[in-house]
Amino acid sequence: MLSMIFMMLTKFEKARIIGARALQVAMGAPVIIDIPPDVIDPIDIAITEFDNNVIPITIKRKD
Amino acid sequence: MKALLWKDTKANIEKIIQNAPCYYGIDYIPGKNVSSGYITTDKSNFEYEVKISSIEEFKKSDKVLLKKKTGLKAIIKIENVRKIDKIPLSDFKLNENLNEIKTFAEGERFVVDYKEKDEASLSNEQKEVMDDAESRGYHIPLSLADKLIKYKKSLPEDKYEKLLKRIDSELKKREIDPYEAVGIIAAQSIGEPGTQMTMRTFHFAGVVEMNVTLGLPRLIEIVDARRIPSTPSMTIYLNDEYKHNEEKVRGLIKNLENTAIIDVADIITDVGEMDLTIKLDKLKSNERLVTLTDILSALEKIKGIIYNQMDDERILVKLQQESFKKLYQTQEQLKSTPIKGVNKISRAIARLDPKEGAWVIYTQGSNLKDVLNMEGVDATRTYTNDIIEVENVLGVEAARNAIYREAENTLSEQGLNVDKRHLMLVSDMMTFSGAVRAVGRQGISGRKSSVLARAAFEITSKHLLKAGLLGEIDPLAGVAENIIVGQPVTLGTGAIDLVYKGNKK
Repeated sequence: MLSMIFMMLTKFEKARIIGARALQVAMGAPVIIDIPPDVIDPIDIAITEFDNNVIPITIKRKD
Repeated sequence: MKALLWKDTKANIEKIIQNAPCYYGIDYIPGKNVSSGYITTDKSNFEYEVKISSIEEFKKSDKVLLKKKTGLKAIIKIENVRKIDKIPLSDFKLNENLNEIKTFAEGERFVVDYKEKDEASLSNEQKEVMDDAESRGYHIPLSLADKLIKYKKSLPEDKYEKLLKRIDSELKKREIDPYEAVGIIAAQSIGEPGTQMTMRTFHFAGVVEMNVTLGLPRLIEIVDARRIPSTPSMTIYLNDEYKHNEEKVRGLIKNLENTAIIDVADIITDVGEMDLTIKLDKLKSNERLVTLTDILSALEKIKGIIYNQMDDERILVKLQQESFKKLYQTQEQLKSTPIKGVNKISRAIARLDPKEGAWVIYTQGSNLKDVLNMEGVDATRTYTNDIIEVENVLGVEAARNAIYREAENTLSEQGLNVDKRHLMLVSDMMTFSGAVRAVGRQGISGRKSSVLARAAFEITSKHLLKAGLLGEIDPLAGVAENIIVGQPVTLGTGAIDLVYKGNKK
């Protein structure tokens, strides 16, 4: 099951998650969801994954 | 709430602190509703606050600490003692008028009644509108409630909905995410219009025979927190009795303008006779409404001279001890002898302000403290452009507002619009320490806690050497330090920690 908890992310948090995931993808990590074969840019892939809420990364907020 | 005030010795206070909570025998019978106390050691400033839980009649007991050995009348139970920042006697409303506390007194501490505007203070109508907006899912600031009531009545339903939606989205657009680098944005947002200013004006703009520094020089002055601005000036608003009465306003101006003898008379030195003659200039003295009697009464305060009125426009001044040096000194002293007016205020002009519909006085030179004490002055609105003076007279919080207001005025006078939050950030940074600090070496940048940040700003080697000698530690918390070290800064994306979520399938 996907995590159903809705988390509001700031633009910096979103950028950081997508950036980290794109780096993993670029270095050969397996892509979690099905991506059309013509999408090859790791950042595009990471954004698609982010939009589908499948990236296994969250934010640790300081209090 | 009544408080018991008393003077006590250091030794007694020590004893109370060590034994609290304790019973304390005193030679005074306090009123029934006393529940707190303040102790002074120097008769006028209170340093300790105590909580009193009960008051009983005095009877001998081992458990009771005694203020003195004889004449004891009551026992108070002291729950706790707290050392506080010194508060003066004038902070209390006393039963009788006292200048100092010799033994005991009872009084009430003045409390500033401060209330936040909250939802409870909204009228029913306002509440209804706000609740309605909330139920539709729009967050509207309370300050717009009155306007919404008006529009709700006048606009058709679909347009009203649109309005709410627009307000909500405009507000959202202006929100800032945490870790946004607001300081840099503020600096650039003020700096860019600043470059426009240099090109357009570096001059003075005249306000009816008066000069006020404007434009870039003024902005630099504000940010530098100069002790004395180059053109201090005041705007004096008047109370109801004065503001429509031209005669009274003229009288007030007379009492405002600082007039010295040299402004209304000539001083002629006769070296042969060893005397000075003050010759009244009719034109000048009529303009300033000064008579010879005013000068005579001003001369009374000067020591070492003998003066005589010769006729209706001349005064002869002789020295008690004749010497050329003394003669010269007296001449110089006479020149600057004030006849009337408020110190430091050199000119005052009254104008019928069209917006006010009443007389308003503008001055060259500023002396907020004395002017606020004058009769006829509306002390709630009278304003000076000297920020440091505002700080000294009214406090930092007022100085913060003064910085904001002055910066906003100088910018908007040039037709430049800077978002107010940038200016607020600057004025907050300048005042948050409790006193007005300049932006720059002496102020904000020079007092950063990090060595590397200070070294990055100015005089690098001095800061590094000193830090090395003292063994300072830099926690690398700021921006400049992290850039020097080569790490991501703790702003924006760099401030976020990632955690692996794991596979929950």
